[in-house]
Amino acid sequence: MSVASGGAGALRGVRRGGEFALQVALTLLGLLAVTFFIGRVVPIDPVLAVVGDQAPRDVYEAVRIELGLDRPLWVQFWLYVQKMAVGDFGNSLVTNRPVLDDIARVFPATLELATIATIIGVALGVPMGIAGAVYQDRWPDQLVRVIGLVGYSVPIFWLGIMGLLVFYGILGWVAGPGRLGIFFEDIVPAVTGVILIDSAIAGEWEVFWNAVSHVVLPAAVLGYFSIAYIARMTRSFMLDQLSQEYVVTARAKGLSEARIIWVHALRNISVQLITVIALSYARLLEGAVLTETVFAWPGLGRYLTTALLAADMNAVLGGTLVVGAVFVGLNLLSDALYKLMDPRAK
Amino acid sequence: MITSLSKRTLLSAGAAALVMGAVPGARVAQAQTPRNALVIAGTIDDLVALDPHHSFEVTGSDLLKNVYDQLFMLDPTKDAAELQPGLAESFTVSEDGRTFTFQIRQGVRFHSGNALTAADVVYSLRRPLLINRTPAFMYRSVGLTRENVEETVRQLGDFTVSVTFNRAYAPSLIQNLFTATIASVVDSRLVQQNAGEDMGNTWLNRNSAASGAYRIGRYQPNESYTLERNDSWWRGRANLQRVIVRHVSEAATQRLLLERGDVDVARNLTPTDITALRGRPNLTIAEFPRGTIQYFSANMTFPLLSNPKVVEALKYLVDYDGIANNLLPGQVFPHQSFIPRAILGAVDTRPYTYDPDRARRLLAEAGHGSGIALTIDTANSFPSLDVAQTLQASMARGGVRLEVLPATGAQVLAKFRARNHQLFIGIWGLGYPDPHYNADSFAHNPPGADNPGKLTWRNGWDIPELTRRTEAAMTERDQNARAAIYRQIQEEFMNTSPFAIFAQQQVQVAHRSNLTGYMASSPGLSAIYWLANKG
Repeated sequence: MSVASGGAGALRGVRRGGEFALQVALTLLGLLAVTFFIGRVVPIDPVLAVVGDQAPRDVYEAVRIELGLDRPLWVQFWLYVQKMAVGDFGNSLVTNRPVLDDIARVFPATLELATIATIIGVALGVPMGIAGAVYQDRWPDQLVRVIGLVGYSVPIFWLGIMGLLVFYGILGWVAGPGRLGIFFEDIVPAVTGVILIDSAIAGEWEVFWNAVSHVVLPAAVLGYFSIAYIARMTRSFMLDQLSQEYVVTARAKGLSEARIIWVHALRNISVQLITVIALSYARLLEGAVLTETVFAWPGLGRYLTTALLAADMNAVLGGTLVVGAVFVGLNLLSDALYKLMDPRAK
Repeated sequence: MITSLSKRTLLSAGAAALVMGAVPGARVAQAQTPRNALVIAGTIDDLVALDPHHSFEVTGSDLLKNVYDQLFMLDPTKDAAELQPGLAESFTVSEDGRTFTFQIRQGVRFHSGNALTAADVVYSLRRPLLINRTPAFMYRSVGLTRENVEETVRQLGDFTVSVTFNRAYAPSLIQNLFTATIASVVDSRLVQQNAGEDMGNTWLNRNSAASGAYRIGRYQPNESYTLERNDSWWRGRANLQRVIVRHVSEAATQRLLLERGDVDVARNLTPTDITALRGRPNLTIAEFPRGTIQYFSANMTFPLLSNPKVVEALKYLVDYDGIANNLLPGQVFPHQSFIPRAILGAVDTRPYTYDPDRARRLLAEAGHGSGIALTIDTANSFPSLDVAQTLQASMARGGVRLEVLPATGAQVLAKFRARNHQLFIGIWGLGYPDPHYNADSFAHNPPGADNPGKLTWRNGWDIPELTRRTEAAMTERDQNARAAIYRQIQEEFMNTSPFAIFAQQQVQVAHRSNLTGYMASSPGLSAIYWLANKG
């Protein structure tokens, strides 16, 4: 009996796993197809990008054939999928390096920034949202609302430049643009690519603090926007809960207000909250182009923008796939967290 | 060569203006860069290749000319192009004028310690054609090809190399060509050790095998590069030990870095930034002409534009001074012919002014008294789009209704190459510092040739006589006589061509005042780092 049920459970697990893998594969394939065909429809000429403006007709044609652009679209796509399947994303036209190497370099930069920004967003956004709900329409709520409104409406590049001018330019509290000071580069071997982690592993604390000093401002600027979003959503989820009957019951039972809010209500909104946080995190992981530009931060957003402007389709497709994979991964993670938080989801 | 258009949006100018508006009189705290290093904030996201036989961008030349030696050099300390020997100490030309024999400088060592010999020079002259990247067309244009390079480029001795071209080219043309980045001499032994499948192309795009002022210390695409001094450079070692160029795409950020003293040079500031920084103690504004011109051209295969009077009228409808002084102050200066200032044969005459009345008369004579309507294709980026809008306004006063058709640079270029435009705004960079490079595209169109690579062809400009003169100039051995032919060609060009050249670009930088000798551009078309020094 127990053996049989164990076997059935395992089988179910495998089947579920298989279904899931198929789902992921189909999602990524779809993504690939859409970006690929958009890339081919856009009237940008990848041949000119290789041969240059002044190439005579014969050179142009030779390269067109070399790039396989004379073949039917579906053949090109099939060849492309085959290459992708073995992890060959091709070379970037802009950097002349394998796209995968490029992404392995720029993604950790974005990851670092986005993670710290999200931590800031959650650490401040959730309490602010709760405060807004608890003190509805009183001054804490108004304050949260104003902060949120500013976060939504001020252009991020402006905030970034102002931040740089004040905290770097005038006060000199933080280091300037870039991930590291020029003279700290290349001291720490890249293990994860995330400088904060790599420098800690290597025990290079001077590098670590220099990196902290560089990341604080852009992360705070990005984090501010997460705060605005997370606080607003938390507030509305919380308001919803506080009007529920179980809250009234709990109050009638004489539970402390803090316990009702931080234990009972918060637990009930946690699933929704995870979705919100995961979405906001994913959005930051796509790379924040404007922030990265202002702070000369060599992240994914800037990489993709540069690639797009240069009609560097290998890089664009590779980058898009990574973004897609990040979304799938975060979905997976939040699914797992739901199950942990909500017994009904098991 | 179309230089990479600035990808910065107008956003940067706006942002800087906002910052200045918000915090008037903001003064920035001071730091300092090390005394032995030159630190530059610039943009390097168009730097695609470090292999000198592959690179074709100005950003690439800026780096590579400070790392590799070429056969000849244009003296960076002179305002007008003046040839100097480089790795070729001297040369002779054969009776028929087609074969050049170069004596290679002895005692030069590569950064690796290997001695530089004729074998390296031969390898380096053949390699661009064998790897066949974009700049190879420059060698093909003088008759060297992948197939014939074994016979045309030959080693005659330990320090003697001969090259046979398909015509008896002017010696100055060949010398100027051999100052270009493509004529860099690479350490053939080192490259062959790392050759791989592509003659070391991949390897050289990440490493250097050079003999020049600096060697590449570190390079991260889109982030930064660091050059380290070569203490035993044959010309005498550079002043500063290190050069660091950091990619900072936002102009306002570059400006903050400069004001803080974290960089010595801000390379890509907006006119707004420059105005704000002018007169600051410790900061200097400097301008360096570039070999890049801005023009618009009229497609003469389009019936309306086949009438010379219409084309002439258009040339009187450009606000030349307005573009140079108000639209792009500091970024360009007025220039109306195809040979940039400082290059052999350049002329300074500017026959055209903004004259709407005259344009109206010309249009009336052409039978369009009630005005005409035209479209103009332009890249949707700074400065072409801005120029297009200015043209729209200035042409309207002369009875030309102009519709601006913006698109990405690549799209517009495809349309231009297919001759589907009416008017087109272009930016044209000199590939090597010789008048022939531009004459070949602006004043040469062999009858019956179908070559979308040439600007003359793209605009349907049929010029058998001018083509002959351009060919004569390219083989004229006497340098003064050669310059004279180019001056004549340009006169004719300005009178009859479908091109309205309105400006030449310059680089305007702001740098710390203790920095001297830094050149953001030079007659040899690249930045010069080795003369920079700090007081």
